[in-house]
Amino acid sequence: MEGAHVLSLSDLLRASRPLTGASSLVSVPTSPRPPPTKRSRVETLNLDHTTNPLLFSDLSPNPNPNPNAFLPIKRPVLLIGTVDLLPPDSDRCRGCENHCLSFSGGSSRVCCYVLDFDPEILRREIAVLAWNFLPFDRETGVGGGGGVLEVIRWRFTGPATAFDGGFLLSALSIGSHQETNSVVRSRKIGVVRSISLVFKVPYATQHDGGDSVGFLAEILSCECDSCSSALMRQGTDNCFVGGNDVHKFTKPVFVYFLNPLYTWRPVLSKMIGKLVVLSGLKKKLVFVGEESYTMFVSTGRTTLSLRGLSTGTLPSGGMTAKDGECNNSVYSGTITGIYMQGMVVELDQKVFLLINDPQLAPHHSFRSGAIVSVRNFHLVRPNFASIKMVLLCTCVKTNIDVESFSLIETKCHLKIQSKSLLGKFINSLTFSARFWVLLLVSSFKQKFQSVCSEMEILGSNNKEGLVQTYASRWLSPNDYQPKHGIFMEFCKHDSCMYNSESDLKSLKLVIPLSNLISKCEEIWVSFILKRQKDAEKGGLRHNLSHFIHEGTSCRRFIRRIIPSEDLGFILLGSIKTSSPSGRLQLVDATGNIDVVIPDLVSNVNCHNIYEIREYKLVLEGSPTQLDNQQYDFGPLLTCRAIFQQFSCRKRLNNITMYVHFNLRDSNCLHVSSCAPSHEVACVGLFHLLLVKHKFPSTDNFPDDPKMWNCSSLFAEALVLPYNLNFPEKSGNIQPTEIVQDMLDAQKFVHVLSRITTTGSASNLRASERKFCHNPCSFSFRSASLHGTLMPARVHRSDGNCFKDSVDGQHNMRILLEFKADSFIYYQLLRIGGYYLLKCSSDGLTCNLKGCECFACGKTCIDSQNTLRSVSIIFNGCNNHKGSREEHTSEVSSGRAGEPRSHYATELLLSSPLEHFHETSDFHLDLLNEEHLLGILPRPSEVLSVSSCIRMMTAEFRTTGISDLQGHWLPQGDLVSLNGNIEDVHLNDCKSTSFVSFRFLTGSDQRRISSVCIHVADDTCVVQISGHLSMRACPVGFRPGVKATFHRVLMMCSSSGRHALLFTPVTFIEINSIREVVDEQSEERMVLPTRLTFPTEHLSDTIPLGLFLQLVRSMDSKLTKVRCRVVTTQFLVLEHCGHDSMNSEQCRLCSIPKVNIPIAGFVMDDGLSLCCCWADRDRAGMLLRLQENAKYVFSDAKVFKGGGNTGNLQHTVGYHLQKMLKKHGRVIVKNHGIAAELSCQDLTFSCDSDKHFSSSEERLLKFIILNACQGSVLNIVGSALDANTLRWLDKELLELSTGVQSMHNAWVSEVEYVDPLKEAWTMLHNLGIK
Amino acid sequence: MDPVHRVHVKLLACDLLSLVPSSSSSSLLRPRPRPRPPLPISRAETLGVVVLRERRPLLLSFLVDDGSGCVPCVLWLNHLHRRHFSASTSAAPPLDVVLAAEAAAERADAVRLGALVRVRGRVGVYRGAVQITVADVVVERDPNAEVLHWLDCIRLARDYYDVA
Repeated sequence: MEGAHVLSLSDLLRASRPLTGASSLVSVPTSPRPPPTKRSRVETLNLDHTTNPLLFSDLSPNPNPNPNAFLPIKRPVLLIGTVDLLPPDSDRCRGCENHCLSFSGGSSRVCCYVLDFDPEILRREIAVLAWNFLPFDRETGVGGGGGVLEVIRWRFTGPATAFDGGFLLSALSIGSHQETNSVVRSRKIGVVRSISLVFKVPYATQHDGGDSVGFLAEILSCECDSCSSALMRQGTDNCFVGGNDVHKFTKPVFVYFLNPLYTWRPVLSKMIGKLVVLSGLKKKLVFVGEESYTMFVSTGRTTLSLRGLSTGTLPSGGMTAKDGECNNSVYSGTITGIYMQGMVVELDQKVFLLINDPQLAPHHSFRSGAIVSVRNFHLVRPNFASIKMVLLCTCVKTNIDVESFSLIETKCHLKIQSKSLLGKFINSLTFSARFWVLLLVSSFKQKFQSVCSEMEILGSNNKEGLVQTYASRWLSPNDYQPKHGIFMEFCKHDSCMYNSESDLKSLKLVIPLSNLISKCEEIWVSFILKRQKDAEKGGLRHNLSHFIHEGTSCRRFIRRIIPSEDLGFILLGSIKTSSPSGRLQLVDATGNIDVVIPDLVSNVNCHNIYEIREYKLVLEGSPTQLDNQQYDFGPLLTCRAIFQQFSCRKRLNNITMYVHFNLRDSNCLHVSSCAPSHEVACVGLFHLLLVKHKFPSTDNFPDDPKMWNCSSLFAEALVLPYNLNFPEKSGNIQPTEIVQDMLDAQKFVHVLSRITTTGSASNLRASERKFCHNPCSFSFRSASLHGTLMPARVHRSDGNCFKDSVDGQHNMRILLEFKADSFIYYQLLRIGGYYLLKCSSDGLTCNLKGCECFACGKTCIDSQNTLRSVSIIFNGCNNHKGSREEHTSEVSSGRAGEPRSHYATELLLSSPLEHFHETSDFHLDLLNEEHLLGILPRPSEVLSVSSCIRMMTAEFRTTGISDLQGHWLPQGDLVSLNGNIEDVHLNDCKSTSFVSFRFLTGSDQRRISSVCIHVADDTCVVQISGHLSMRACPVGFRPGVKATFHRVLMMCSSSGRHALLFTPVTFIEINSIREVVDEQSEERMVLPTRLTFPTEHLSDTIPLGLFLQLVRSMDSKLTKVRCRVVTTQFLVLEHCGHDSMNSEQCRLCSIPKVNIPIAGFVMDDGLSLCCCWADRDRAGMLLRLQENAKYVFSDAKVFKGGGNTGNLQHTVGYHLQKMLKKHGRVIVKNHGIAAELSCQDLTFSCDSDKHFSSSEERLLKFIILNACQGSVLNIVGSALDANTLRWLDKELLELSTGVQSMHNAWVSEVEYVDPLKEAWTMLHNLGIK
Repeated sequence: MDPVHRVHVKLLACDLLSLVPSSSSSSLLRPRPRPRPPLPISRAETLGVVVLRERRPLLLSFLVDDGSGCVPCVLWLNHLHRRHFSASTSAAPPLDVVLAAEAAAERADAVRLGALVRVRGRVGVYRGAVQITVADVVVERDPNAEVLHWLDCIRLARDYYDVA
């Protein structure tokens, strides 16, 4: 202390900035110390000057860059002053009266908080040796400025005197006037257990005319004989003798410190756990309402003295509490975060302190970095949101004390809450529910700050906000706790509600979308890293990761579908469309994510907020090599991240994520009041449209992103020659009058139309029956609409009717244009769906020719001019399929009558058109079905892959190659095709497989690439190639999806090969997706020659040749060769978990469900050997698996069983399946010479670690031997080029040199030989008569 | 070496029986019109009706008549004879040997008088006569297969064997 300079309090106040100083500071001056001035040597208490130059010389040369940080004074300084209670008439805030003492020096006085509090410090002059000073914010500080002095270390300035145990505090000393003349005899000795905050009892209950301000204290007294007798000896200080082990402080006694003794509370809070003697108390019965409490009330003679006994010390850095228990629970930790204006405090980054009243904390010193101890809290472990957390919940008995001040933070985040509806709502909840709502508040503020005002989110004093509305919906009655008065809560604490916490499993976290995106990335990275670890263990497993040929494969691809149940949080946001792609997105202020909504309806409001509780999160991408250290996502979905409003950004570019949900599973939070209603919109005249095609997004302004918002999307529709008229609204179902069309009575159609949402079934039946007898009328089931369907003539300018060239109907073809603000309606459109378009004319009739809606053959769809979907049913039942079957006999088997899902994890992204009525706005019920064919145009065919190939083959035969000569542009027909996308790869990429994937995941949506897509059904595969824009690719456009390609060009190339080409108008619709977790099971040989054809067509068109001709074909032309299997060179057999083959059929035929990704056979045509590569069914035929299956196989011998063996478990197929189920994948290699088979040259390897038994080896050898003993077969194939062969050689590992020296071919088809037919053909070709 | 050397050449019986032994290799030679050199043949395929079948303890010999001649064939059934797989008397025959023996036995069962069989194997000369040491036998159920085989033989001989 020697040499320390004394600062006055006024100096600190004048500095008006956070300061910290110490008397024992030994500083090493970096510059010569300035000579002390005269004034600096005056180290007296009466430092009477207006400005302390020492202090300001410290401040001015090195201005702190951050004025809100503590500035250390670089020389030893001390403060001298007196610590006392705050005067009762102080105008300090309520936080101060609960925790603060006062420190006065000279004429100044500030709040004071003393760390090592000594009872003797009061009213004595002390020298503060280490301190922090924090000025109040002048704008918010009570009392017009001031500050708080945090006393870290101090000592008395005078001689130290031992504490004699006398009065520490006396009511007389502060001038209490309470009952100073009355006789007060009560006296209490005990341990202070807990104290309440200072509270005020309103004026109405007081007799003396003033509000009663005070606080309650719970004293645990001892009931032993010595204590009882000591209490009787009034006036004796030495009333309490003995040690801790003698006394048992168990009996709670409540003391009510009344005005003005509430100023003792800061001292009493330091006495918790200590033995005190209270005298001058008066025992009273306090009535609060109907409740009465026996307690001791302070009087004007009340004194407080301290005894030397202590009852335990405070443990630090840990927690001593049981769940739900309040008494004696202690936690000491560092504040690591203060959120929600102090209602939630994070301690040690692991527990959360839930503060129900901000006054509980000494708010001046309650800053981040401070070490605090919390006593008497409730320990709660909420069980919601699948996030582990520990809550320390405060109550009226809780005491929070600061053990160490913080220098890293100067701002106090505690705020006294205004009593808004939300605040009252939160206080009425249980601890867990309260915490959940606070999380909700933080998340909502973050998510909707740009959409809604804070008042809309949080509400006001008299209006509920979005948070409260939402929370009320999900909270159960058990989540509310009744509120009681302070007396009951304090005095009957244990019998109150604090020990019951409801089950909150139904409550889930609402997270910002940016956190969701980062969480997706975290899930993805952890999944990939796990795969990498597994792969490192696997060894050979990934040697066959994929196969490439002309293009680059996307087969190294993973799609994960994660249900919301596994994630534990729900999504909230607005549904909007992005520009310029028109994709649907879920949007909040933090980000957006693509969504797929199969049951999207037209009344979805972009301004509303939707809550999605049930959804599927889809992650897909390529499993690129990741560095574990590269991606540290930190706590993304922790409560801390939500409270901190942790801003995340997307870091991975090689994954795609989107959310799949049904609108019927979502809840709409009606924030916006501009929701359209059917009743308002559906009045007037409507045109009936059939959507023929949707055009993909185009680059209208490729070079100017600012113009993307001006882009448009288009669709093509046919305007049916009938209008719907809704003349008025009506509240009841009333039969309408017969509407006789005077213009064209023959084409009058009688319909019953309705809205599906409302209406009485009984009424409907009655009305329907009625209308059945009166077919010339129609009505709506809805209580609001009547209408008529009337023909509208379509005329051209020359007076003739328009005639649709395709359908032969009087339909007008128009273009629907969707501006950026109406992309949602574009998303709603289904090709083949019927829609109503409101006519702009006011009349009851409209001639299409003159209608302004279709001026220039185009109409613009916007929010004012919307489309309403309508499904057409017949006589009350959905007969959509039946009505179209005769038109669509070639409809893909994948669309008509197929089960909804082949796979357990398959998701429908768009509901089949047959289910269109489920989501349509209106149902048109046609009473007379005969008229249907007259008005409904023929819908477009959607071909299956097999149908497409049949059609292509027929085209090939009839058209031939020569017809195409002379055409500069591709010629052909536009068709629609449905099938499973097996592979997507770039045509212009030769080296790396990931380039093609970037095509699908890259950020440049305007990029156009030449791609090739393999589309398959159960039997055949076709490839569609051409240029495709990323923007034209819908969400989920990856392998492993079922998709419909509208308007692809079917053409025949000059080489005679038929092809399907993408066109600029090709529209791709994803029907369903399935999970692709294990890429191994999804591998397919990606070869262009895998284009497959039905054999009956192929054999007629492909000329017979030899391998020599096949391999010499320059353009990989298909050639048919009659040959036999000599050896099996390479074979991969896989367990097929979800074979598309009918399982019942497999069981009956004993066909093993085996997947053969690739197999190499040496074939002999009588002139040369050729190594033929095949996969799947073709390899199975060459292996004669179907024939093998009929053989009975046992450990002893193999013999032919005929097919009536009786026991399928002895068949080859059964054993093969069993083996593959055990090993997953088995690879067989032949290291022998190509021309002969020797079982000794065969080697086997499998993925599993399980033993490869001799019987399994025997089985495989039998299969291979048998394959080499088959008859001749016809194969159709084409040559493999040298590059592909080299690649195969590298991938398939060390093929024998014999194979490399041979010719190689890819087998497109295998067929059995029809000797008679073949012989006749040969006779003809050989010219033998 | 000519690639035909490694393949099973499809020959009619009359052509097959006219092969001559080569002085330089184990192959047989198919004479060709001058100036083309003889075609070396080591494996052949024939198709015809079994007209003679003689089962001996360690082999099955049979004649295949394709209409142009009868081709002697011999199918060895001695795989499990000890001298063929191990010197040890107590050791069990290897799995490969067992499988080969089972396959041979099955083939032997298939070779029945009157059956139409497709036979592949190595061609050789035994006691001055050409014969096929059978590698595999396939029973053809469709009699038209014989006609087709003839035509294949004609096509290959005319367009390739005698031209190359």
